[in-house]
Amino acid sequence: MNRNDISTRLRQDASLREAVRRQNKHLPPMSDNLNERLLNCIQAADDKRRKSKRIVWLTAAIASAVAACALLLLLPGRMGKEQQPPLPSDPVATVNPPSGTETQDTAIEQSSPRIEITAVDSIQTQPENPDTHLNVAEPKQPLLAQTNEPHQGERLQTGRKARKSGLEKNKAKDEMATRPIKENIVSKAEPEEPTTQIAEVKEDLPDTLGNSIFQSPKNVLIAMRMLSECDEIISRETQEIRNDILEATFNVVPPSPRAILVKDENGDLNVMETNQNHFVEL
Amino acid sequence: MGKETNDFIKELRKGRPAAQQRLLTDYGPAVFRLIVRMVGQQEDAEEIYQDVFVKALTKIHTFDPEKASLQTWLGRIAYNEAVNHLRHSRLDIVFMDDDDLAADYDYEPDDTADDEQTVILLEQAMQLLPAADQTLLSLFYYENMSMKEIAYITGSIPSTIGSRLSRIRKKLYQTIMQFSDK
Repeated sequence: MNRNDISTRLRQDASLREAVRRQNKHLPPMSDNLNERLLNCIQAADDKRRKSKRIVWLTAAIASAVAACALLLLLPGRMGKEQQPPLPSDPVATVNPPSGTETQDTAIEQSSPRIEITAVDSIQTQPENPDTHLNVAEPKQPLLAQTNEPHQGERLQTGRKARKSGLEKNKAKDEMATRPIKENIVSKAEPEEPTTQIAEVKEDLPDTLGNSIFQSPKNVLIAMRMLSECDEIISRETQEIRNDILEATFNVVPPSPRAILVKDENGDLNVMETNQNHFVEL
Repeated sequence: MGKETNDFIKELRKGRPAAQQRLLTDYGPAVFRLIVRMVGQQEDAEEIYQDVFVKALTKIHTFDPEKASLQTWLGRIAYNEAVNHLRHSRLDIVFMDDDDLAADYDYEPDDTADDEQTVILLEQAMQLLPAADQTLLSLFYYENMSMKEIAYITGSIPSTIGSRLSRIRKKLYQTIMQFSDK
């Protein structure tokens, strides 16, 4: 007997169907307001869920708005700082205009403050001094103006020869070399403000070298001597640092098994490679 | 499944209050009957009833009209909730055991009989049946569900439902025969 037959046979039992029907009538009924209570519960749960979603969305919107405001506030500040050009480090930014020289006004694109400076006479040539190891350029050549535009002046030929290859030495020389160049940066400026700044600078600095340094060959010589002394000091200190490093690291990380550390007549350490035929007197 | 039913389910999924109310109105009584027949107590039945519909509305997105009708789907949730309740209450879910069938009373009732006396006796005999068996009878005879649908609700297979219903019916008639003999 298949399932359909069983079902048909069962369905034909009217007595049993009636008995079941009557029994269902006697079942406890559900409360009248059961559905109503249930609906209220469901609606309350839905409202709560929507509220929490709304709160989450609101919180997210507020957080993103705050983040956007913070970005808007920070970015212009940073961009403003980046756009500002670096001010010259040397406050001595001007020189008295020499007599007979023509000012060269070279406009550069700079944001405030702009300093109007006139060109100066070139450094007069000096006989080459072996002590100083510095050679000064040809006479009467205007200094190079550092501008973003194509240069309008002639390049300064210092002719200085670097005695040693230390970075510090080059840096010091560059600073010295560019100092006068910076001084010749000329731009269209607000006239009142820069002169005020220059006047203030003049007053603040002690006149140790003399403001008229470039007018006096003697002062120039003194300056050159001081510069060479500075170079010597820098190179000496560089060498001492090198010696310290070599001494400290040689035993820890020897460059090769046959390498030895030797001291020359100046007291500077050097690494030497030995071979089988090379004898070193200790 | 008709368009109207599809629209109704869509509305339920959107959480429309009107659709929810209609769901309770149309299917609530049958679900309640099933629950109360299983657990017996009205208070427990109402509590389970609420749980059933909350669960149903929460999981309405999982309803697949291809697999079962909405009534059957709700019936399954209700049956499972009632069974869980009985388990937690430490009440055994008893189905009629095949061994209960006494060999002496191998009585095949007359299917066409529509006797008032028989009906009354059957009604009394039904009260002696376990709640689960009574639920099966109610689903088949009162709710007019097919064996396939009853199998879906109870988590069984249609052939088992058919066998069980046959045995329950046989058991009932054997019981009323005993009453008659006495």
